Amino acid sequence: MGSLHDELLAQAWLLAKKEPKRPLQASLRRAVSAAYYAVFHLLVDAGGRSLTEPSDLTLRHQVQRAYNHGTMKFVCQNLHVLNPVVTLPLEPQLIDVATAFVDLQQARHDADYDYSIILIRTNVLQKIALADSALLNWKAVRNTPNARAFLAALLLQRQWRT
Amino acid sequence: MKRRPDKGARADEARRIRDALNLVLKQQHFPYGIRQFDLEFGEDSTGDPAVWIWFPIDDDPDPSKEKLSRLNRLVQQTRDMIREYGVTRWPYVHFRAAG
Repeated sequence: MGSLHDELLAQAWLLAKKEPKRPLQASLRRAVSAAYYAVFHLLVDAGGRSLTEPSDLTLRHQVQRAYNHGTMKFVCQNLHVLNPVVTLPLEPQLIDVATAFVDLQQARHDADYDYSIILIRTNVLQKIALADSALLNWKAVRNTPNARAFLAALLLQRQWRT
Repeated sequence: MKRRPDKGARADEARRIRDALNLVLKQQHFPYGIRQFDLEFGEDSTGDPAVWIWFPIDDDPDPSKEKLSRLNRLVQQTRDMIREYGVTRWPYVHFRAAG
């Protein structure tokens, strides 16, 4: 069994190309959603793993449930809040992951709730390619101290503010 | 769902974004015939000020990896240039059907 984020990304590509000639809006909109959730679950999975022992699946799953979309977006949009727990400058790949997260979260929101837009396949494939790049960029930085601080901030930033 | 309008949108902000986008398109030699764009100001899903940028493009049923990379470079450069022009609202860049 593969990882959930890889499966979601693969599902996004499949949905976007499901109807070769005239793609259904439902397929395109669900493809955008799957692309966002690929990045979301990538980070949540990494966060859970970084804070728990490999053998403690119950605790890991509880930690993963605590991640919040809004807090994650805030951190990704305001990377300066990572001071002083990171070493500057931040890795460009880490910045790209954060930027992709913000873009994809709003794209998912628009795809799910904005009835005024008509998605085209090129736009959707660009979003999926962005998610694909985010997964690759994460692989490049995931073992760095800054990446671990980023994962902690995604979970705890609200508490750090108080 | 209708997007919530953003009371903070100002004409000079729109002008700076247009200037930035015109420069990006020129620097990138008008990729895939993109010469225009539309702007829409509002608040994003978490209530933050944002601007939606729509580039018209001919839909491609099977774009190459190179094309998707180039479109993502256009998105990235758009974001960078808008920041250079002093606009702090978050740009959400999309492609929609031309014509």
